[in-house]
Amino acid sequence: MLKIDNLHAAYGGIKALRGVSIEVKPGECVAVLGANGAGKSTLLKIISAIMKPVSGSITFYDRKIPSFPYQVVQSGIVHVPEGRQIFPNLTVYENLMVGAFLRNDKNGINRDLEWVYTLFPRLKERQHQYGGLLSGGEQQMLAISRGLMAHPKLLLLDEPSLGLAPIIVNQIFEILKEINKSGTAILIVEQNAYKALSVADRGYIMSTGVIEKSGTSKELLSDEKLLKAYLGD
Amino acid sequence: MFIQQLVNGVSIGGIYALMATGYALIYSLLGFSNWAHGDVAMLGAYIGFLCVATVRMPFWLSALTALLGAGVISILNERLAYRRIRRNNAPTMFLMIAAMGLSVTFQNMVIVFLGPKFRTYPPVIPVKAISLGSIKIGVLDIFSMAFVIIAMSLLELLITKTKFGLAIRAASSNMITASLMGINIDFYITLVFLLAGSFAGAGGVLLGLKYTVYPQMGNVSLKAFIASVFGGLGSVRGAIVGAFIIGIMEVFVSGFITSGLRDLFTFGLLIAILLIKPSGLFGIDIQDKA
Repeated sequence: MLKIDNLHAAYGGIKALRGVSIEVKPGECVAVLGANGAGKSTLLKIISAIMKPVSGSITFYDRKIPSFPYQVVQSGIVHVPEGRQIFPNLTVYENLMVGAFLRNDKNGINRDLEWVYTLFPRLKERQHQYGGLLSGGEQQMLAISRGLMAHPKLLLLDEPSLGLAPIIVNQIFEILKEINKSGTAILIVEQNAYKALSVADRGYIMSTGVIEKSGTSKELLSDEKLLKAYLGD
Repeated sequence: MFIQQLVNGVSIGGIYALMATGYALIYSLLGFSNWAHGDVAMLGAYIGFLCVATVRMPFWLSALTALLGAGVISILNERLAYRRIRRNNAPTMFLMIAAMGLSVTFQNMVIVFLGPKFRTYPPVIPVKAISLGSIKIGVLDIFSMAFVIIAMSLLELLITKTKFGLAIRAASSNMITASLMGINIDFYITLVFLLAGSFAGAGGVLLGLKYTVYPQMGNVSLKAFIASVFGGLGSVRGAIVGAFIIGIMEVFVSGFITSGLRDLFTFGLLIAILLIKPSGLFGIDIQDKA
């Protein structure tokens, strides 16, 4: 469904991506792994059109990705940004409704609202509280749920484990599995390689703007040397 | 006497509120002080004046034209000046400087094309006063207050109850994330400038009716700015409360002390709030805990 071909990107004169090619098939969960500064977030920012590439092509269902972020959402891709980026002055419920902003199907919205509340019951308990008052883990849950409220075909996740306790990370990744099983394709960008590969079907390993290696999660996980070399643990 | 002055204060405070809310809306979204806001009000006052006095249109139609005209000018400011600066991710200081430039340009264009004279609206609204016991309220003040109450109530509903409100609250909290959730930022910014400009235009017409129309009348938006800082920059409710407090205080100082000290008190109030509670009355933003 998503095809990225020979993508180049730069911040000013500094190259962030150098010829990245990645593919996500319908229903798949794909992980992009790499250390800080490898260019993972840049990749997602370009897909969701908040950053412009230097060259290269991105197609979604064989159509070129549109050039404004809201059009990308319309086409069925939602980007859950790094660091959660909850709207602190909006309630949990309002945050979720911003996620459903482009939808007009009331029934569908209510169905998805019930769904994310069953995935993350904490959110239902706190639905009338301000987003800024949630804990880090709850904010990550809200960020993922807010993304799901757009009913995406493809969910882009940027470091969902960032800064969270291991027990919360486990919970969140369990739920990501469930989301993926429900038919939503996921492209996840992570430093936590083991966790990400535990949910992903396939993975790409990225280092300084280049894809160094790709394979099924099993292949990558069995290659201890590779994981050590690129991810440091 | 006290209640009489209170009524006068509420009347002028309402006009400040019309300007301060638009000012606060733009600040909350784009994070800069739109110094051209008062001049949009001034242009609105001139449009209304020309429609009534020169074209001899009926007042309601002239007022409507002034509102829409000011709204369109406000949108053009954004389209032609601010948007390019935003696109370049330039510091918000650049936006403020551009706004100052627009302000000077508008004032001088009016001087060149329409002259520097003070002008008065023809008596479209009767200059009578209605007596309620010992209090006298001008018909214009009643009209003005009614308009302000309706406008502010609609604005409050718009911000808290509609999708438009949700979009601008989300965008003012985090614009990039709002765009990632499917909000067409440029479209909503355009709507906010239309709304802010129309409110300013309404304020301009009301000021013009109450006093006079002249090229520098937009400088009164300094009061709207103070109201907005006093209430908490970016907070629409704060701007409304701040505007009424300043309006009432000004009238009381003029009435009971001397009008020469009016601005001293207004700026004194600004300094006091900045010292005691720099975020303003309603500036208690929900902080991000995690």
